[in-house]
Amino acid sequence: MPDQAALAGTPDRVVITGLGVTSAFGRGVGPLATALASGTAGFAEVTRFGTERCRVNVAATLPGSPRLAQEIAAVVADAAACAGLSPGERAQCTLLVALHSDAAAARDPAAPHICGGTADTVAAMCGLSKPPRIYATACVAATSAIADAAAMISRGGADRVSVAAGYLVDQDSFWLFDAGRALAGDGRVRPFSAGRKGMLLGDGIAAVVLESGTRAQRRDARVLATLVGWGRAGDAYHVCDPRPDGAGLARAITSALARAHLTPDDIGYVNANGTGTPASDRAEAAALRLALGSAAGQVPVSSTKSLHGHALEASGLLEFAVTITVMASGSLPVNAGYLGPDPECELDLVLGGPRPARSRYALSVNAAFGGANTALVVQAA
Amino acid sequence: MTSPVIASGEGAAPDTRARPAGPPAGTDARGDPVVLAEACWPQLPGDVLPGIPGFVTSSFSPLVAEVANRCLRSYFGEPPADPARGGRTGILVASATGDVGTAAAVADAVDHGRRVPPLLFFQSNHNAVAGHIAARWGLGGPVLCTIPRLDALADAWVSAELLIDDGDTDAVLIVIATQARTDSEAGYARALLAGPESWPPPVAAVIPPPIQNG
Repeated sequence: MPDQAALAGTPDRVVITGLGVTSAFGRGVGPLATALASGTAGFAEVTRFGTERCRVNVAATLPGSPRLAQEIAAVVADAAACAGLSPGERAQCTLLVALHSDAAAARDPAAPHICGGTADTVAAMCGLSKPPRIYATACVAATSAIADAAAMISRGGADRVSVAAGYLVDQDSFWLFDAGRALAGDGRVRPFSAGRKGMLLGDGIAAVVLESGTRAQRRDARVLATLVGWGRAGDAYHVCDPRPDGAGLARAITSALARAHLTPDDIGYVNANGTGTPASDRAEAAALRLALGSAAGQVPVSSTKSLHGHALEASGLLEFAVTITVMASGSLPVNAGYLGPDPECELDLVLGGPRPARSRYALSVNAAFGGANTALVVQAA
Repeated sequence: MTSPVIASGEGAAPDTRARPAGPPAGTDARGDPVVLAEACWPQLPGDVLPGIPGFVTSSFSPLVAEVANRCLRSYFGEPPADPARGGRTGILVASATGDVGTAAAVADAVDHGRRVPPLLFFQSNHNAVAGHIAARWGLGGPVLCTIPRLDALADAWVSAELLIDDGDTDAVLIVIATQARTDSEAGYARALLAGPESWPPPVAAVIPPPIQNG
């Protein structure tokens, strides 16, 4: 729970006015929305690099050889255009970026850090100031940046923040995850399902413009959605395994709901972390039951990693974009790859096809190595 | 926001508390955090970096863990921390370099067509050592890992203040770590426990380390 003193006063509303996204389905919201609506998974044999030393050779990737900085710059520009920002407004916008480590930097002894020059290139290409830091908190890196941006805006520390994240499946990370036996040997991601084998990687590049509600209203900006709650908590449990009782993630969810002044019954959709990994999904199901109580059995849940794959540091922003998109459409995406029930993952999964949304509020949850957990509550416009 | 500066404090413990120059506009709900304890590595000539079971090849995680242990031990005593305060303490690992050792080891295996050692997977992100520290000390606050671009300490302090002011934690263990690129270079790490002035003083006397940019 957030400290009550921290919730005192009248924090400004945090609205989303800009969105740009690229996934394995293509560039823009359109291809992603089409895939979500049809429940089509984007996994295929990897051709971007060799997988001869790997157990698995499947991921969700864009065709060709996309370049990360250019792809991120494109979605940042899309988000700024979506928000209707002038060049001057873009230049004054704080940029926060979440990135995976860079393969070229790993091979360059002169590189200042493991993420290379991507963030600076993006800032230069987009006419933005260099970001103050790169968020590198594994699978909650992007959602940590979103939460920081929301905290800055709500408490008056910033009027507008552009949050961007990008991950393109590369040989180093693919071979690394394969070596850790984290990838699904059957080539499918099956979140919360019996017989699930693990995760699969996927390209994900996304950007949002978060803005003070007051400032957005003043310039008559179109509001895509409102970020009404966010929460963060740690497991204090293990180097990489999630806490089995889900208590850490549950605290993040409870904090986000408290900040949003909502009860579990208000939530109409959960975009789950749902990696398809046996222990992780089990712990997440426990966390949802713990945080949502009796509502956990009635709220529709799906993990869209089953469609677009796991975009590591960018996953939370890709899934935030998914959540905004599906809540705007009113059609909740399927939890693909499902084979049958796992008694330890009893949730109301969206199966078979999309389901109509029955509430304007959605929860997007993410969890990472080290017991890092985040939860975001989105209100549809 | 600037780096924390030493301020006067109260209590029987040595005065190692510090206070930042001032909060960002509009973020005064909870009061400014102060430095409750701090430590550095190396502390003395010949200082040794203990290994961590399960972490291999790279000195990054041992560096972060050792300086964190020194800082937390000086404040809480032996692990775990008391649940009331430990449960409301987050971890921020801010490294200007990141774990270059692990990244280079993965790259080397790939470039030579060798299978990547599986243990590298488990330590491949800074979250891993943060989780190691959190589990050992019972720290239940948020976990955040960043690559600060300019002054690592100043930027980490801004992030920690924001986490505290936002309300999901009362205190943050900040670890600034710069990994050596070669055996002839020295790595450096500094840890600060940032938290409320109302918390008790540290259990052990700590000599503030010399200021260095991380």
